[in-house]
Amino acid sequence: MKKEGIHWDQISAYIEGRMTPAEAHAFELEMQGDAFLSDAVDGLMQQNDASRKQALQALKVKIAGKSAPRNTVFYRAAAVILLMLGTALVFWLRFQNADSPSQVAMDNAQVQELLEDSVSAQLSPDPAETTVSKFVEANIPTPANSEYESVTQVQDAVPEDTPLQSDGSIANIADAGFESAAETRSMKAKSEVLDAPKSVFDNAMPASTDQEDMSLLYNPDVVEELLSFASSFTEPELESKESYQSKVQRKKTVAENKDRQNDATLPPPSRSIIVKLIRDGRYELADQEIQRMQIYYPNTPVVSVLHAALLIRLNKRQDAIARMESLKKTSYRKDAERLILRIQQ
Amino acid sequence: MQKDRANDADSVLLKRYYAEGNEKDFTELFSRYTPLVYGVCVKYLKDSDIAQDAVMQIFTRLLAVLRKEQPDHFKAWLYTLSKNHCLSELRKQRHTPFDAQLHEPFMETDDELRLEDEERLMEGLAAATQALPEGQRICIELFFMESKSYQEIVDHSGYTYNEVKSFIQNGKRNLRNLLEKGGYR
Repeated sequence: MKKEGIHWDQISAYIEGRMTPAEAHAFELEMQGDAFLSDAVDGLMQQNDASRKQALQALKVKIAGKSAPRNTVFYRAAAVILLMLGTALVFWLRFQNADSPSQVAMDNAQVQELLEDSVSAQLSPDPAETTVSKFVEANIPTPANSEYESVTQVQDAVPEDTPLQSDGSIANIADAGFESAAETRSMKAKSEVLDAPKSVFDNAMPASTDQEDMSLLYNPDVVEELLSFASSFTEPELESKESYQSKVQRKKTVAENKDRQNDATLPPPSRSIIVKLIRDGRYELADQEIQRMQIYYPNTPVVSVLHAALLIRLNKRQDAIARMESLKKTSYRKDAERLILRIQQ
Repeated sequence: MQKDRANDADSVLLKRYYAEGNEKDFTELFSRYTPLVYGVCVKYLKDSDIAQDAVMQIFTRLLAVLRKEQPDHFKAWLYTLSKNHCLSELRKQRHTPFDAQLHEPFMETDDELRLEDEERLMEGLAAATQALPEGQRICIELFFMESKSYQEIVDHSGYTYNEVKSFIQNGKRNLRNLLEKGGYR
């Protein structure tokens, strides 16, 4: 090591007595003109070779270690990743302990906890008000509540004699808020092409309504592919796909229904929770959350894919294909075609 | 791209540290001087572990100070900072003032002993050397006239290594005084 006046080779050779007398004399002359060097040599010579080398090696390691943590970008990123993994682990463990897939009945308290945990930062100032149960009671059609009161309240512009669609879903509520009454009726007429997800739990559970043999068509691999694909969308895509107009309308709709539905106090729907609900066979709740997601992120690919996955699970393969067809109009055309082929297999 | 700092000059590392603030540049620079800083710390603090701690404290302190000031002569600046740190530590340990030592030169440099007129100086040097105390005279003659190393002088004179070093330091100072007094400088 020789850098601008640092002659460690010379220093160690001198200290260890490996210099010729002439070299030693030259080095001593240099020391006389260099107080730093002279003092250092005095100190280093106070120790034997072993302790000196051990101390210098220890210092080398300490100094290298001291500078390493200063690379804060890497460590911050690592901390964020660890935090995210930790959060994911907590959710996974909770879902591991959830009810068996056959239990489709909603566990409001549990879901409330999940939703609140996942987006606690976005909760209302009064979290006690934020309950999925209230939201569900107010918004989600049930066999006993198929009239779906909220639809009529949202659709103020719709004449009273306008027949409500039998599946009065939240997606349609959103649509109703966005469009005029005439347009809303027109959209509902088009609902057969599945522009937006609609509830498949109108009057009965799927097991009793499915006309096809589930054992023949149930394809868990395809569902998993769809769920993985849905999970692959980055978060910004959820927002960026939403037009400014629809975002304004969504906020307006949410605000209009705030007092009655309390949905403004609910956290936004969580894609990961929907995926988990589908995997766990909690189809009704998954359906509700998908429809709620349609309000928050209208006509985004992720909603289509999640809905298609749910439809396959509910043995509505053709509906699922139709749902994926809408994805062909987006930049995910190739993915849509590939997945449609898989569904058709 | 990984920088090959090991081949960079001290001044290059220092400038780059000021410009980019990458502590790896400073670490490379400090690593080069670690043996010297450690040696100074051992000299004054007399204990390897305490000296190692002092080196690390100096390292940390330097990082903070270098954000505020940019010394022109890093090596000299590092020496002053290291020595003052050690003396400060000693002051804490012993509760005795070391201010006097802080300002007392430990050794003259060649700059201080610059020979402006060598020919004229040489005339007075022989006489002045003879006027030195015996130990200083012997060591000065052996070191400067016969180019002997400290160890050779030890072997030749029977003085210890530290005595030889001390005689030479003091002898140089006395020589300068004698030469100045005789009008040779």
